[in-house]
Amino acid sequence: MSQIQPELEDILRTLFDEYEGPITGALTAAEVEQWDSLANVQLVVLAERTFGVRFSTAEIAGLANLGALADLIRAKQG
Amino acid sequence: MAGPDSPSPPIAVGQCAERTFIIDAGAMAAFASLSGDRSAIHTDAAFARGRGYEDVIVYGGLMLAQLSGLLGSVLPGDDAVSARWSIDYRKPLYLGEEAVLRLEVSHVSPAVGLVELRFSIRTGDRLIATGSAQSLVPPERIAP
Repeated sequence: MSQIQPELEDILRTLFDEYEGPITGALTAAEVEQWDSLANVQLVVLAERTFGVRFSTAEIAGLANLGALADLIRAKQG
Repeated sequence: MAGPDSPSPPIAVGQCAERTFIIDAGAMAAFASLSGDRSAIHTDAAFARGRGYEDVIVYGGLMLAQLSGLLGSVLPGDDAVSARWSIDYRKPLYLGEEAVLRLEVSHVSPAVGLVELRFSIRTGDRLIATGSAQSLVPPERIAP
């Protein structure tokens, strides 16, 4: 997740302010109580704005964890 | 609004909508009854003037009601679901003043079917409030 990690971590700490566990590439929605479907929408939109990318529905549906999101962002940034 | 034979254009950044409204005494009384908020600043003109205001201040909730009306009937329209609203009240709006609420689409995300909008409420040159809203819409309504 390297350079993308700190900014993604900021987004997650803001969205999931009650979650105090570690934020790693292996993190999934199942591990964060606040990470529901609406929060997932917010996460996607904040990631699009922060990193200047745009996702498709299929890309988002196929993400397994936070690391996969970081990989997708990296790929889109070229 | 578009009818069944003229589908709405795709939602895109920069699209705008606006409505003009006036909050009258009837609306204030109805909101006081509905909300239970009968604070003097909204109901007692003498009290409000004593605090340096020109008249009773319009309930912020009534401005949000206007936002709800514009979001739900025009942009994004009647198939949208509100996900988040944020508002900063900057100057008071007084009873009987004509105000203009203006919405502009600031971001769209087809991936999750989300439309973000900025809005402002003005009366003449006075900026009453600014804020933002997010609405969930069917993704096919968003411009690719």
